[in-house]
Amino acid sequence: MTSLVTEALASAGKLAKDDWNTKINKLNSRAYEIKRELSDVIEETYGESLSLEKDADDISKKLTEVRENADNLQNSFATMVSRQLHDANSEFEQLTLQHTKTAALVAALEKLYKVHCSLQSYDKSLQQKKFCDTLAAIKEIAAVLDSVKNTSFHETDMYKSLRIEVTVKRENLNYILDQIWKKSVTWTYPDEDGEGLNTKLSFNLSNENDPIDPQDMVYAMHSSNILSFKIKQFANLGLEKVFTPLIKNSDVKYSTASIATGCSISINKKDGSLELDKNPETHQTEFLPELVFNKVWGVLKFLNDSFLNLKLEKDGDSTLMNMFGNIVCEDIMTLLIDECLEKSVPNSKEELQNYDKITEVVKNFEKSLREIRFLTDEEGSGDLLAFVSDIHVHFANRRSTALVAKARQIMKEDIHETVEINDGGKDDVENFLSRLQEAKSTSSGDDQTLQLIVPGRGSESVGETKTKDILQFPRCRVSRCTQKLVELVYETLHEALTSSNECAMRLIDTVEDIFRLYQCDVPNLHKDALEMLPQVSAIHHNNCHYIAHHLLTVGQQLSSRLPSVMKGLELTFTHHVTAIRKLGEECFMTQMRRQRAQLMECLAPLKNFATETGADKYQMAEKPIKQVMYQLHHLRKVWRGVLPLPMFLRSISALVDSSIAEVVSSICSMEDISSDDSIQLKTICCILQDQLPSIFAKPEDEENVPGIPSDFPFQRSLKKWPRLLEIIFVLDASMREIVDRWADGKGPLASSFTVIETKGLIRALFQNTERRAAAISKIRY
Amino acid sequence: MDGEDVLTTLKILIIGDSGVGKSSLLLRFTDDKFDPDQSATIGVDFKVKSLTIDGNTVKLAIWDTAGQERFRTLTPSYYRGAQGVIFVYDCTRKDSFTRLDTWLSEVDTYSTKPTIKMLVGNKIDKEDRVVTRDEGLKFARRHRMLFIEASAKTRDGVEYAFEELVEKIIQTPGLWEHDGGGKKIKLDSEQQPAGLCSC
Repeated sequence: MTSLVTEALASAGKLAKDDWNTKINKLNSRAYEIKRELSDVIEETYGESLSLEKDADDISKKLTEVRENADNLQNSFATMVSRQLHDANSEFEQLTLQHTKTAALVAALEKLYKVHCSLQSYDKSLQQKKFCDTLAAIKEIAAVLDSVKNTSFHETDMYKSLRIEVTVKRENLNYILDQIWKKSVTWTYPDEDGEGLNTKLSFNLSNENDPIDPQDMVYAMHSSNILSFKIKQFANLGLEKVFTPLIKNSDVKYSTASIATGCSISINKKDGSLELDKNPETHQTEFLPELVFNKVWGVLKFLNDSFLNLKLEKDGDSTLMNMFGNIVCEDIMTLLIDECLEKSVPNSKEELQNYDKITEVVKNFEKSLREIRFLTDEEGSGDLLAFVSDIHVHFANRRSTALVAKARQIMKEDIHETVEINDGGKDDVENFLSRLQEAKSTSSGDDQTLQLIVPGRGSESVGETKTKDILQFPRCRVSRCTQKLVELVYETLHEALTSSNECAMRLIDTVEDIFRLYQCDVPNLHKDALEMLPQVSAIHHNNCHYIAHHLLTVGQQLSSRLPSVMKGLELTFTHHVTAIRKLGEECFMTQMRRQRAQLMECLAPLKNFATETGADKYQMAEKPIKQVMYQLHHLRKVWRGVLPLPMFLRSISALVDSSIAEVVSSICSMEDISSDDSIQLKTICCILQDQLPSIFAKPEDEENVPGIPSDFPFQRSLKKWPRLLEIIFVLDASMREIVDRWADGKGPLASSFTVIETKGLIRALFQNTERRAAAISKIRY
Repeated sequence: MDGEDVLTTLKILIIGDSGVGKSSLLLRFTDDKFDPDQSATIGVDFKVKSLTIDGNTVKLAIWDTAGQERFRTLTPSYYRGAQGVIFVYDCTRKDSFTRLDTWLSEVDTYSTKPTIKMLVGNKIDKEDRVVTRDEGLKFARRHRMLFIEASAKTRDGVEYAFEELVEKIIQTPGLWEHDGGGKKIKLDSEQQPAGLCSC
C-alpha cells in the first residue's frame, strides 16, 4: 500500500518537474525577445532628440547677439532725447508764472476799482439817506476784502487801511441809523424811581426837514443786525410802561394823537392823576375783562398801524410786529391771564354760564393778534384761548379753594355755640335743603333737584317705622358751626350734581378734603377747650356723630344722580364714618378719664379718715363728698340736654358708680371704726344716697319735652347702688342685724359684699368679743 | 342665742306685679303689721324670719322685689340660690293674674336650680274680686305650684302660705340639705381663703 502511494507521488512529482523546465525555457526566450525590442525602441526615440537639442542651442546663441545690439541702440537714443525735453519744460513754467502774475495784478486792480466805486456809492447814498444802498456798498467792500483775505494781498498796507475804513464806515452808518431811530421813536416817562404814570410814545417818521424812508431804515437796520436789539429795547419798554399798567389797572387808559411828524400814544389814569394806586384791589369792584382786551388791542393796533407793520426784508413776509410779538407775546399773555382772566374766573355757577361772552372776546382778540402778526403760531389756540376753554377747571379749582377756606373758617368757630338737634321737629339741615331746592327749581327750572333723605326723617317716604328708628339721630346739641359745615357739604354736593363733569369731580373731591380737614384740624384748633371743658368735649362728641350720621347716607343718595362720566363710580363717604366717630368718642373718653381721675382725687382723703384725730374730722369726711357732689352736679349741668339722653345717663352713671365704689372701698379698708366714726361715715354715705338721685332727676327745662321719663330709674344703671345701701345698713346695724342680712349668703349683704369685706367690716366696727367671733363665723355661704 | 338648732337658711323670693301687695304680705308675716299706705318698693327689700315647723327651726331670708318695672334692678344675684318663690297676684285685678306668665318665665330664665313655687292670690278681703279661686287653682296646678288665697290686711292665709312653702321645701329632697357650710364658693379670687374659714 505504502509503495503504491509513494510510487504515485513520485511519478506525480517527476511529471511536474518536467513541465516546469519547459516553461522556464519558454520564458527565457521570451525575455530576450522583449529586450531586443526595447533597445530598438529606445534607440529610435533618443537618436532624434539629440539632434533637436543641438539646433536649439544654435538659435539661442543667435538671439543673445541680436539683443545686445538692440540694448546698445536704446541707450544711445535715451540719453539724447531726455536732455532736450528738460529744457523745454523749464521754459514753459517760466512763461506760466509770468502770466499768473499779470492776471493777479489785473484782478487786484479790478477789486480796487470796485472798492472805489462802493466808497463813492456809500457817500452818495448816505447823503441821500438811502441806507439800504449805503449798507449794500459797505457789504460789497467787505465782500471784496474778504475775497482776498487768504492771499498775499492782505499783508499790504492798503488792505489793512481799507479794512479799517470799512469798519469805520459801518459804525458810522450804525450810528446814523441809531440816531434816526432815536429821533423816530421817542419815549417820555417819569424817572425810574417815580411811581408816577404818564408815559408817552411818539413816532416821528415823516420829518419834513429831513425826509427818511422808515422802511428803508428798517431794512438797513435789520440787515446790519442792530434792529433786533432796538426792538427788544422797544418791546421791553412797551411791556413795562404801557402794557403792564394797562392790564393791571382798570382805570389806566391810553390815548392816541396825530402830531406834525407822525403820531403818539399816551398812557394815563382816567382821572388824570399821576400816582398809581398802590392797592389795586380797590379798582376791582367793576372788573370787565372786555375793557382790558380792548385796551390792549387798541394799543397793539396803534403800534402796528403807525410803525410796526414795516417789513424786515424786501422780499420777506415778516414785519416788525413779528419781532415785537416774539419778544413780548409770552409776557403779555401771562399778564393777561394772571391779571385779567384769573380774575374773571367766575365765582358762581350763574357767572360760569355767562362766561361764553368772555370766551368770544378772547377768541376775537386772538384772531386779531394773528392778523397783525403779533401771534405767529398758526395752528391750535393760544394761551388765552386755552385758558378760557379750560374755564371749567379753573372755576372748579377756585370753587374748591374757596370752599375749603370757608370750611376751615367754619371749623375755627367756637364749638360751644350750639343748636339743638331734635328729631321731633324738622331738622334744620332739611329745612335748609328744602329752601335750597325751592330756590333752584324756581330759578332755573332744573328738575334734577336732590331728594335728600335727611337721616332720621327720610324714612317717612319709605314708610317704615323701623327704618326711622335706626336712622333717627338722638335729640342732643351740636355746634352751630358743625351744622353750617354739614350745610356747606350738602350745598357743595348739590352744586356738583348740576355742574359739568370736571366741576363735579372736583367738588366731590373737595367734600372729601373738607372731611379730611375736619379730622386733622378740629382737634388741633380747639385743643385746649376739648381737653379742659367737659361740655366742649361732649359737644365735639355729638358733632362727630352728627357728621358721621350724615355721611352714612349722603353718598348713596348722590350716586344715582351723578353726572354721566362718574356713573358707576362708587361714591361713598362712609370710609370717613368710623374715623370721625372715633375722633369724637376718643375725645369724650379722654374727658371721662379726666373727670374720673378728678373724682378719685377728691375722695383720696377719705382713706385717711380712720387715722385722723382732729376735731374737724367730720369736716374732713364731708368735704370730699361735697366736692364730688359739686363736680357731678356741674357735669350734669353741662352735659344734660347736650349729650343724647342715654349717653348722658350712661356717662354720669359710670362716674357716680366709680365714686360710690371708691367711698365704699375706702370704708372697707378701714381697720378700726369707732362708733362715732361709723355715725359720721354713715352720714356721708347718706348724703350720697340722698343727693345722688337728684343728678338723674329731670331738669325743669325738660318738663315739657315729650319722651323723657320724669323719673329715671337710676338704680338700674348704677351697679354700685346696692353696695351703698348695704354699707349704710352695716354702719348702723347691730351684729345680729348684719348676720341676718347676710343670711348664710342668701341676704342682700352677701350679694354686694364679699365674705372678707363683711368680716373686715365686723372686725372694724365691733370690739373683739366671743360674740363677735361667733358672728364672724356665720359670715359664710 | 339665735338658736344653734336652726336647720338651715332658706332663700325665698316674692314677686308679682306692682301693687299686688308683696311688701304688705311680707310685713304681715315678719312684723304682723299692715300699712294701708305702703309705698312702692325701690330695688329690693329684705327681711329675715325664723320659722319652726314640726320641731325644725329654719331661718327665712325673704327678698321682696320691686314690682314696678322701672324700679327693678335685674341681677342674677336675686335668683341665685333661691329655694322658694312666691308669686303674688291681686284677686281684684285681672291683669296682675294674666301677667303671671311673664313672671314665671323670668324666674325660669334666672333661677339656677329647681325651686318650689307658690301662687298667692292676695286681697281676698276686697269685695270686687275678678279672679276666682278656681282660676287660681287651675293656674297653679298647670304650673305645679302650691296655691293659697290670702289677705295681708286681715292676716288670712299669710302665715299659712309661708309655712306651706317651707314645709314643701324641707320635704323636697336635695333642695336644701347640701346647701350650707361654704359649699358654694363664689368665683371671686378673694373669697374665703382656707385659713379664715372658722374663726
